[in-house]
Amino acid sequence: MSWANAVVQGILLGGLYALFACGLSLLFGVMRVINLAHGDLAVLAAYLGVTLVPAMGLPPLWSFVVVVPIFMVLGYLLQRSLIQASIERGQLTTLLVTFGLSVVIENGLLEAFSADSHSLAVGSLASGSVRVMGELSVGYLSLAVFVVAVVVLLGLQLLLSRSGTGRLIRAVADDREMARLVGTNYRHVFGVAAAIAFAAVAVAGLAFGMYSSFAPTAGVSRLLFAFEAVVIGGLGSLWGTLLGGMVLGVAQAVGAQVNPAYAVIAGHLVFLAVLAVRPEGLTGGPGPPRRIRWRPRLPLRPWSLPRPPGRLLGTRAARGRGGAAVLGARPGGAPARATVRVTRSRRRLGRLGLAAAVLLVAGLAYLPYLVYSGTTDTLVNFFVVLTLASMWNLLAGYAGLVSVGQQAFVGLGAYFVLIAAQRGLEPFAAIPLAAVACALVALPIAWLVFRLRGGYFAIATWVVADVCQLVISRFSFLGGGTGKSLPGLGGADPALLGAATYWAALAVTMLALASVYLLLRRRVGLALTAVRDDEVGARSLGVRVGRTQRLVYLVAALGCGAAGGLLIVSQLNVEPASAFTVQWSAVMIFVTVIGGIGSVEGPIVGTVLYFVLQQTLAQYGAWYLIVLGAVAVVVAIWAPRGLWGLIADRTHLRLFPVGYVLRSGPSEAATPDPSEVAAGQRTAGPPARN
Amino acid sequence: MTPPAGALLELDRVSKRFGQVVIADEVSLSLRPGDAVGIVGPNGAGKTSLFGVISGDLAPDAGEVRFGGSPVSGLDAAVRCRLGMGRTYQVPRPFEHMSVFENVLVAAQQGAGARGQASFELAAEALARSSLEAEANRLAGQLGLLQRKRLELARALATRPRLLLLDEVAGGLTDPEMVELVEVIRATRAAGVAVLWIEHVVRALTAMVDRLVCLAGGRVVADGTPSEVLASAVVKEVFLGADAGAGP
Amino acid sequence: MTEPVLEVRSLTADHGQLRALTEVSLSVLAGEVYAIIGANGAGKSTLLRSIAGLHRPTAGTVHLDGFDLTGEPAERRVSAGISLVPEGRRLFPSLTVEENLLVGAYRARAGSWDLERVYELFAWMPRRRRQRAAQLSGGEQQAVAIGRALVANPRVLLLDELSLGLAPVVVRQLYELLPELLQAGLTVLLVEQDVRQAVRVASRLQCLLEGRTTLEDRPAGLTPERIEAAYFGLAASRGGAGPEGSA
Repeated sequence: MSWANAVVQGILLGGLYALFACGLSLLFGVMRVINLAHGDLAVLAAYLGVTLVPAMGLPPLWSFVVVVPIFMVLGYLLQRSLIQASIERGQLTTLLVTFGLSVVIENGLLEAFSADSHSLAVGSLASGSVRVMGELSVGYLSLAVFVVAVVVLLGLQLLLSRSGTGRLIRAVADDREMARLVGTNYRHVFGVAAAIAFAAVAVAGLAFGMYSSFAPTAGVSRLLFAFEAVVIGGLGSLWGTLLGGMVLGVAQAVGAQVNPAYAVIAGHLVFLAVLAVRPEGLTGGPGPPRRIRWRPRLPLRPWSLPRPPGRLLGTRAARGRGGAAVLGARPGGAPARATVRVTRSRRRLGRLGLAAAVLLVAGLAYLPYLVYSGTTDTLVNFFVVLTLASMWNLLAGYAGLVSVGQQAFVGLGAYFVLIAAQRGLEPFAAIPLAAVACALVALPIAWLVFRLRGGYFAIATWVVADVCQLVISRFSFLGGGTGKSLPGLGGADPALLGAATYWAALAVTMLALASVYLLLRRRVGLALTAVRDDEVGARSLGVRVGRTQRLVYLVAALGCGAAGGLLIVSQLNVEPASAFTVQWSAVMIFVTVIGGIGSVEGPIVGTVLYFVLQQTLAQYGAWYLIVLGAVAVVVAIWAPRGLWGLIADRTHLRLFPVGYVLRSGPSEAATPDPSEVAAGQRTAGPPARN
Repeated sequence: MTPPAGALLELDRVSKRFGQVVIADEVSLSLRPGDAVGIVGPNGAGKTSLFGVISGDLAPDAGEVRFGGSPVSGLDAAVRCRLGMGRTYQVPRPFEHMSVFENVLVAAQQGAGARGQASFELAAEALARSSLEAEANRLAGQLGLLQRKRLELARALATRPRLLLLDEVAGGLTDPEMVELVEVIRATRAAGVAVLWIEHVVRALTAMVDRLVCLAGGRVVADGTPSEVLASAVVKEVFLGADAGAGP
Repeated sequence: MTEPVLEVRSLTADHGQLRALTEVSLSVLAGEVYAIIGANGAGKSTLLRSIAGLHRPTAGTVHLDGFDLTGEPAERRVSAGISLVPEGRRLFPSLTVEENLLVGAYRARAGSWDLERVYELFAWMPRRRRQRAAQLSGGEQQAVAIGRALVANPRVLLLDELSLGLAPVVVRQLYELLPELLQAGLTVLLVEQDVRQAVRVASRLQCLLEGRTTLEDRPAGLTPERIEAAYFGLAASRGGAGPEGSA
């Protein structure tokens, strides 16, 4: 295909991308919801088209008539139930719920239809083309899809700007309380907006189904392309989205001209470039929400005005010298000042807890001598999941960074170990090096993705993971798309190798848990907990939010990288599709949410539950993931602090105490501990915020 | 470099608007170290937004904010806090899932930069000053309004500020509670901290400040001693309408 | 004795931890302008919001023409006949002037107010009707906000702090509209910070201080001292009557 043809093809493809994108941006514009299930819904629409319409004996084009109304009803019902419930609980819940939906839909489709691809046959439309001029020819189908896209966008634009319903939607999007004052039930209007968005998704999915073949796993790329089209074009106008779609389409087509395998990554690179240089997009609308960068114009510690003297704000306190200030009582002078005592836990479990932990770890370490290798292999997977979940908990539960792209570091960790092993390094020794390498890669990634926040941050991390996968697949010495086996461990005795892998996994997990625990015990940990509750308030008290979040992102990259290294060592080979699959994110997110987000114990509880579930549902294929996803959605809405949260609320148990308890203050009276004072009183906890 | 004598805080023709609505119109103000200045004015006059510009939550459209002689316009709120600006919010915003002590400890460790035992002492003292010692280990989310206001103040104090920005801390308090609050602020000021205080409850202000500024329509309409300002016709008009009670 | 159009009995409302209103009562007769004055934090806006249905009171009732509205959600009160012009105007910023008015008419009752009539009331509006609401000045926004409430043909028009952030000249012009609105059969309940303005337009007024009624009378029966005392609470009778705010 000539270059000119490629560009035209790209432009037309852009229409399809814009169609995908407009549903996404409508939902965000009206109710600030980023629907991570967007792509999978489109694929679902295609599957409905491919099954329902032949069953009804109708020709394929009738699928629009059949599927679109179904989706409108689906959208309205979903909005009034799950999505509204999660909006009321905060952005984290919305992301979790839509992500859960995405996993449930994708795996449900996998169960129902297997991984084979299908397509909506449209006969002669698919193959015919029209010659425009000279060498330039345009496929009928591409043209038809583009026309449909423009018509839908136009219709949507007119609906929003001219109709009464559109006016109400815009009013509710502007100010929902004021909308109530003019008599509007805003929840109903949200439902209508969702119905419209879902209709657009259905049209996009069906058009896509006619345009190319699809499989249950196609949802991810649809979501990413839609998101990229929105960001490139700029939020705020549907025509901007069309422009963004066309730019993306052309980028992909041009990439494909160079090498068919470069299509997707060319699009990703253009997206990343726009993100780096102009995050508000080409049409420069209000832009996706991004963090404001302040450029300091003076050094942080200029020549200082002396801090005000006096007891409260005395210079002594600032110099960080330890030691209690003990003053004896002076007759007729200042009142006696007692020592300020602070302990870290409410109960005196300290020594006992430490001994129990040591025993447990020793017991675990001895395990390979006691059980079959099958058990230790399962435990290796357990430890990997536990490490990943702990890292995600740190990211989302403490730093407020909802990442759906940690699989980037899992895959990179595995591949860094491979690279090291190929150069002759002992694979087990390579694991820590791979982890550090991941942390280094995380630095520029953080710079890029931290330019966004909320749902946009989440999807950006997903794009980055996809980029990593695509880049790695290019290198033949790493096995390209089919994978490579790990050298250096070939001659080892299997039982010994199994045990060594187990110990490595145990070590990594203990290190991960210890790091998380120690991080939370220090000043950084307290600052993180503050940021989680109220970022603006934390800032006003001097917490350097950006710096703290960056640190957490690096630590999480370290942990996920180490987990990836463990994976390749235990499986002895690696391939891009499974190393970089978003299933890793699904598992770590669901495990953390169900176990309890925002507590060190939560991921442990969640991982145990996950494995029980997995063993029970092992023979049902992908069902355990569906059940996990559904349970996570339910827990996210109705028990936001997870299983451990429920336990901890009742028992005040803290296996990993990270809080501070003031035992006695400057005036001599001992400070009451609420658990002693409030005996018999039920302390109703504040509603957990996400 | 020697520290300059003179102003601790300077607002130099600060302007800010939201759309067409003017919040601040070339507002100029200056405070020296140790000053206590009250700000009064009708609702919607832009007082809290002005605090936002000073503390770093909002960027001004024009004009400059200087702290200790250097411009702080490019600095974010966390940096300004570390430089010595402590602030309370009109509606208290404690960290609900942390205990009272932990709330104040964050301020001591981050805003004041204290570590270890010293941070514990600083936090404990801020609590004692705000009469919150008994509640130290209670979850902040369980506190009632008065305690929340005290916590708001304790956190600001724990950052060891040079300038304390108070936003309507006296509202909703009974007379004895108000007297107590004024005492704490007076003691803080005696320790050398400058105080800039927005307040509706005028009698709380008059007990403590030596200067009063009246803001209306985004402009400074009066700036002088409390007795001068409260007696001025301009201010009376702003509050009660000119010829108040003259009848229909 | 005619039935009051709007009757509020012993309304008590909380704002989170703070008791915003304590047993406030009022009744507004048809064709009246009833004004509520008081300092900031006195509870005036909470009162209006409770009447409009945005705030659920902890005790007390709201009756409109004899019907109990207390349990009704805000979106149903428009069709019942209550329209609120909220504090700060709150036009829909991305909608044009005309679209704001059209949205206001979404649940309009039958009556004489429509867009044309609002355009007659504000002569400058027809020229600017396709402009985005965010581009208008404060006074113009206030006019549109009033128009938006009028097109719903309410029985009772609630005005919350009309003068907020506006120049005195503009405020005067807005208040000069009131007689015309009353002639059309409207009843007005307004909250105002500017006491002088309130005294000029009201047929009766009530003063709130920290959620309680400290004064209720016709303007003719008021003296500057009485008003000041009620407004600032300098009277000795206040005593220890503070809201319960301690933990």
